[in-house]
Amino acid sequence: MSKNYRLAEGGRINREHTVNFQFNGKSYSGFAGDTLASALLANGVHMVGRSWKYHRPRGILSAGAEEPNAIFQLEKGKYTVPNARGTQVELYDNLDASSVNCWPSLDFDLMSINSKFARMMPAGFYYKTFMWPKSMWMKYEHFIRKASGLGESPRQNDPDRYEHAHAHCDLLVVGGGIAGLTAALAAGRAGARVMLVDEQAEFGGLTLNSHAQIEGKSASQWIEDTVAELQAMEEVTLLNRATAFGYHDYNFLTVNQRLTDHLPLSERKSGREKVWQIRAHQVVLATGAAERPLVFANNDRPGVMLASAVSTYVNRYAVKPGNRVVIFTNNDSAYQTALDCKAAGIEIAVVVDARAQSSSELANTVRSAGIEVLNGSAVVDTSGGKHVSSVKVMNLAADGKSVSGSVKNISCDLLAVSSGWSPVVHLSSQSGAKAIWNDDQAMFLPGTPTQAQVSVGAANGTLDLKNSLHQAALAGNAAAKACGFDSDMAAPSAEALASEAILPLWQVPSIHASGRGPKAFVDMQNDVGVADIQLAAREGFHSVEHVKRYTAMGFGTDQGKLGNINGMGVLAQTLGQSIAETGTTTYRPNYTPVSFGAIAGQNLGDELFDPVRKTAMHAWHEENGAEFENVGQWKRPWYYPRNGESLDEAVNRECLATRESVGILDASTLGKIEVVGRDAAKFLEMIYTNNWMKLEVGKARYGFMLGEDGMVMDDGVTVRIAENHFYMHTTTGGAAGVLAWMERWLQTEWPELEVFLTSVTDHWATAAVVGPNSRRVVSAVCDGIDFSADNFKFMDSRVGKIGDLECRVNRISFSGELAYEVNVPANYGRYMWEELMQAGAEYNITPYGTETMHVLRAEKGYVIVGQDTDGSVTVEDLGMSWALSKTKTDYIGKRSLNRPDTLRKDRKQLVGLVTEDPKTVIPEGAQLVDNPGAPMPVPMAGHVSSSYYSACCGHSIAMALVKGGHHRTGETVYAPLANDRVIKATITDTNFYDKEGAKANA
Amino acid sequence: MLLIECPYCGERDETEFSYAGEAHIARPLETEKLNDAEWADYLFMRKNPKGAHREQWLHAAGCRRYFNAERDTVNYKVKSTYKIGEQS
Amino acid sequence: MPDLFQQHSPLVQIDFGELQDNAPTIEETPFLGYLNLRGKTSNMAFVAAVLKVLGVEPPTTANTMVESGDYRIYWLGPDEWLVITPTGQAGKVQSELNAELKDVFSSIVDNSSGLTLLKITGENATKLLNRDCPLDLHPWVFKPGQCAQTRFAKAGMTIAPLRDGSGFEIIIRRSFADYIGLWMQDACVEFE
Ligand SMILES: [Zn+2]
Repeated sequence: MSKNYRLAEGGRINREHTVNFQFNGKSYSGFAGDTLASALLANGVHMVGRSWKYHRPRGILSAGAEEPNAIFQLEKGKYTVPNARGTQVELYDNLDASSVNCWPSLDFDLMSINSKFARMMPAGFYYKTFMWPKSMWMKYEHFIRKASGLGESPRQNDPDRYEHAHAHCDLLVVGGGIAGLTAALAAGRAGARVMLVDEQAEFGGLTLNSHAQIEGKSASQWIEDTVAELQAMEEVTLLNRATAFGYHDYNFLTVNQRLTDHLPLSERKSGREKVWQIRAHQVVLATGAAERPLVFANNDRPGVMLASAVSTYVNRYAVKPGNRVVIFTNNDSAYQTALDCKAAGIEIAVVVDARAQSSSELANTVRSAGIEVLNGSAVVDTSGGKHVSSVKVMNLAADGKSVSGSVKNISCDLLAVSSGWSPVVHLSSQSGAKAIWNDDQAMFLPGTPTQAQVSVGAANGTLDLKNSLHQAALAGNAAAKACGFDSDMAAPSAEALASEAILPLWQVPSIHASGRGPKAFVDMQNDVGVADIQLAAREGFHSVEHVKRYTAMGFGTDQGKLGNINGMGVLAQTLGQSIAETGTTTYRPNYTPVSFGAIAGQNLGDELFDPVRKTAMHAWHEENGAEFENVGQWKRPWYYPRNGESLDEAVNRECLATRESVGILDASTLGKIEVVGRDAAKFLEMIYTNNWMKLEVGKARYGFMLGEDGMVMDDGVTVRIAENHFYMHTTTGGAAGVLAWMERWLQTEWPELEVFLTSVTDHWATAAVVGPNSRRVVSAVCDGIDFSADNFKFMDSRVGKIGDLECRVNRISFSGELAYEVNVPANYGRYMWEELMQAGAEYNITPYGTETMHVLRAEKGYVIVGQDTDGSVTVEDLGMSWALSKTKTDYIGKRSLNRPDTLRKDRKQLVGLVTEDPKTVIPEGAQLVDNPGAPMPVPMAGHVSSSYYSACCGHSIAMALVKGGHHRTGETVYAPLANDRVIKATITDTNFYDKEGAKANA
Repeated sequence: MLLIECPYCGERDETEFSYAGEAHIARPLETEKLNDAEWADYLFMRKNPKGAHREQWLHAAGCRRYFNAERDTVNYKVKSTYKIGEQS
Repeated sequence: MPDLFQQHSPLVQIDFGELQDNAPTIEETPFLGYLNLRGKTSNMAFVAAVLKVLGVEPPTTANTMVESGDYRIYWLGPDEWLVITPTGQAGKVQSELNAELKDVFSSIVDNSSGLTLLKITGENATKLLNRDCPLDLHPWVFKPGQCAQTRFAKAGMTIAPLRDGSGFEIIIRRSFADYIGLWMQDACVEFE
């Protein structure tokens, strides 16, 4: 047998450009324009993998997206791609492909022993066998995964870039075959914004194989001219190598464009894939149709191929998939394959037609070309080892239900099969149009649209050229008109071709008893055979969705594109009902697999995965060696290590320096909201738990916000700037949520209140200057303010100047120290910061980060909403009921404070903890128990919410939520850790430092 | 991906919006007079219909206005949107 | 007036000068004045006060902006506008508006340091922005005089086409500016 199956001429390949590639370590060559599949066939390679359950040899079956067998692992290391369909992989220099699912090698496959026990591995085998005993499942699973794995996922970081793009158009045409091109042309000529996407490198679809004439020229010439015309239109965008993989609500389609996969690795630059998110006013689906294979014994042997694929390889790639072909069909279209094969010099053994008669023009042309046609016959079995060498043919009854007569053995090395066509209704179905079974055509047709879309051409079950072009022109015109363009392009002319009816044949009758004899495959990738579906039906699985899950039919990387309809036919026959009654499974995105990289796009890594928000002083913090911590989306300085300090060392130093002299913290990230209007105070009365009406201008107050369920939601200090003007602080993480929440009350519940809310979080930069020397530092920088203790008291707010720059200074403290927060417009944030650093130099002013801030506040028992609360904690639980107004009749959440659950005495309440060993720090989150020796399950007493080593106290401190904790001061609790250590601690109050509060009021 | 008509800004991509729960639940005026069951009804009980559902949405990345939408929970079609205080 | 040279742009750590050959031009116009204006146009006193100070009524058509002398007023919502002033003038305009609107339900909040403006121009400006802005930016749909609040990647932005058709200006929040800058720089790799 010659190893060169390349035809001497023809095809859409570039014979000037030889492309070398490797398959399973062996070198081959093909031409530019080849796919990996066509190049392998040109080299006489049919068998490319093994099936996943029985490890049977499998060959190239199709020439498109529906391919179940020819899936490959491409490249190695970081560029590796699993499960690539060789029928769609464009050949490039030095492509390195290998089979998936063959161990240890394609030719010698240890797992193929499975096929000897095929009868012992029926549908549901894994469920039935391996689920019991449960303790063994882990071992079984390990074995099954190794045995059944498809390709291997990459283990290294993906070096490629992926991109996203949004697009809008009047008309999106999916599919660049002749129907799609025609629809796009009609709307494009009318001036509409048109996008045309096609999954192949070349536009033209299956018609690229055709010898037909359109508008008096060859189809390929017409395609070339049409593409050129479309490309010249300003408002038309053509995307090739672009698969529309999802049709979502409101005419939103997702399209994955492969930008570099066709290039040698060394030439790949920029983005590898781009996911287009397209919103279209109108959609035309010209997605074509996929030919179905026939189902008979040993129909999975390499050398069995779809008839249309044979034509494609011959005409488009100038490859002979075999030297002697048997064609087995139940419809007219495969007769064209006979003619194509003959023209290519392939010997045609016979055309086996399941139909009792065939007398269409095409069939007669075949006969008059001297090709033998056996009507009323069927291929019942194939022979050969790893490649088909002959087929068995018998007589088929007119109803297709039985075979009879003698068995004819016909030798061949290629069996071309056609069981009719299935319109690619995937996107139409995803859009909400439920596919409808058509008995005459034996196919699912697109259902009634629920969105502005229409299917044309083969996708609409229209298999002939003339009608396809007609439909497409109409659809293009209609879409353009719907968008306000005048459009009435006539359909490109083509000759009509009459064809005869199909004889639906979902399975060739077996000559063996049911469940006996060789396997006849429905889903090649998942090794689902006719017997499996019959068994599932016998076991009571009648819904097609259940059969799918029980047998795994359609669960492969091909999603059953090729096998599902045959499977439904087999099921319907088994259940004695029609396919319409049986129904189809749901078509879901994605049409073909999409890489994770494409879905992630650019939104990757520390910087771009999620917004990183930075304060005006960020660069200063970086320049001064800060380590950063993520707080919500913000990057905040965590601590400022000096000379290789550890976190603990730096924090101890920062704490002591602040308490002894002065520290400075970037507090810009706190949420800031201006609350303005005549009813501002009245509004705050409802939003906060405490009283606001009588707060003096120039004074600040701390407040809690509750959810309507009574639980603490946010907290912060709000300043009354003027009678009707408040300046609110929220937590860093809560800012956006609090603003939206307050807007909701104002807009939906109390529109009569005259209040406007404006976020100014980004406008202000805030430096907290903290410690006994803070007054000296701030007064040296800020002019125009009397900083004396009597005139600028705790919770006072003043406006002053830094040079000519206006600043607002609030005397608030989150540390228990004398402290001032200085606010300036953020463009001047760094300037202010540096002024304060300079003025503080003589007091050794120490910048500190969030960790020291946490320790300082914990030493004073100040809570952090979201750390010491978790949405199930009340103000009372925190021991802060002084913050609840006794006089207000209502505020958000108030009524919930009287719910029985909120009044429970054994609620978890916030307490302090001091460990027996002063150096031991209990891990945050540790569970607390009263008796660590109690029999399991040990009752939980509570958990630790904050825990630190306090350099200022000289021992560790912690805060915990403990059941009934407010009445348990002095009692002992235990924190048992995962490493069996048990930490003993005593319950205290939460104020560990300067209990009288003298320092803050200094 | 829905296309939602903000009653102020017009049709925008779903990603500009955030969902704000069931619409037309008025906060009781004198909350202190409600018994626990009545308060729990306001606080916790929500419809979960199959079909038409009236919801609040916020045009979060746009005009920051809340509005009402009648959305079908079966096919996700937003039948109408209307301003707070209006009836559809 | 404070020393304007003491200001730092939020994009201080981003350099748009070295983008790819075919990348759009990205230029920051830093330190403009931004006032967030709130009020009810049903209240004639509000409209009159705005007209008096800014020389133009606040636009009531959604997604439009008006220009008046040195000022530009963007519609942000049915009772919300963004007033853009030249550098250093926000305070003066705020005072004038406050004086005129003393007894009128309104709010004028200075957000000058909270926002910054980028001009994105050149052949691929739309392409760059549509990399992750869901809005239709086609000139048939989005014309000069229009504006919109939308998103770019995972941050908000206000966008308007430039009068001369050369591209767009976008207004973004200070704390997100660095993220948007890095995202755009990364996206421009496409425009080699
Ligand atoms: Zn809106």
